[in-house]
Amino acid sequence: MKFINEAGWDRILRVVLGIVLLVLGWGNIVQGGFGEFLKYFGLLPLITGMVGYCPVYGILKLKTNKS
Amino acid sequence: MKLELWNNKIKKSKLPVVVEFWAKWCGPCKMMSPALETIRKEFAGKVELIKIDADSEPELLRVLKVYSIPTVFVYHEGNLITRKSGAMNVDQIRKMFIMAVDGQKSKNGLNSTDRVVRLAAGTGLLAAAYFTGNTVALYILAGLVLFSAVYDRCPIWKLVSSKVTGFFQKRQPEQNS
Repeated sequence: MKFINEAGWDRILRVVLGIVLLVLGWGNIVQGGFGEFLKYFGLLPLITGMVGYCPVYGILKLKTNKS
Repeated sequence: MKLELWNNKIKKSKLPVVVEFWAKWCGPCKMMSPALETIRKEFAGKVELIKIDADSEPELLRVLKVYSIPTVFVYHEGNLITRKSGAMNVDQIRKMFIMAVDGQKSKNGLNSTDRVVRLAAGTGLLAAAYFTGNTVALYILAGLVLFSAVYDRCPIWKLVSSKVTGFFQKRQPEQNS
């Protein structure tokens, strides 16, 4: 699809990173303010990985996929 | 026309290409012709329409396995996106042209990569929810992610989304008039 700007490896990395961050936050492995931050910040890589589009790449006109 | 020549013709085109195989004696082709012309004008400069008289290109028809007319082929960047046989109305033709511009097979469907990534993410979240002591938020998130992987195959979703789309499509002409 046209809007996708992430390669497969990039998407997998983001999904894994998102899950790790969410686990750190929601599992209370990281506590305090930073733990609270991770509870929601983890959604960012997870969603961008799932959708395949990174807005930051879009702004900087970068892409990790070939097409 | 030989298949190689045909492929070169399609690949050389700078625009997405919609090809219609028609014939003078074909009733549905005549019926579809005004609608096709309307959409061609609507997408002028964005999509190239090639009309091929089926009677003059039997070899091409054989190679492309065109067994009935009208048959429409949609190409994007030289790749075949979809093909459809039989008469189409304006909306169906417009959809074909939109597919040609977007280069995607279906606006609603997910491709296999998306589906696998979402299923993997949902499963990962389910496992994470379980191993972090049954975290409800992660279970909910896992449910949403897993649903996003299969929503296009859910009959309830299809029904609801078609109703919503239909409602907004009905409203649009009223607003324009």
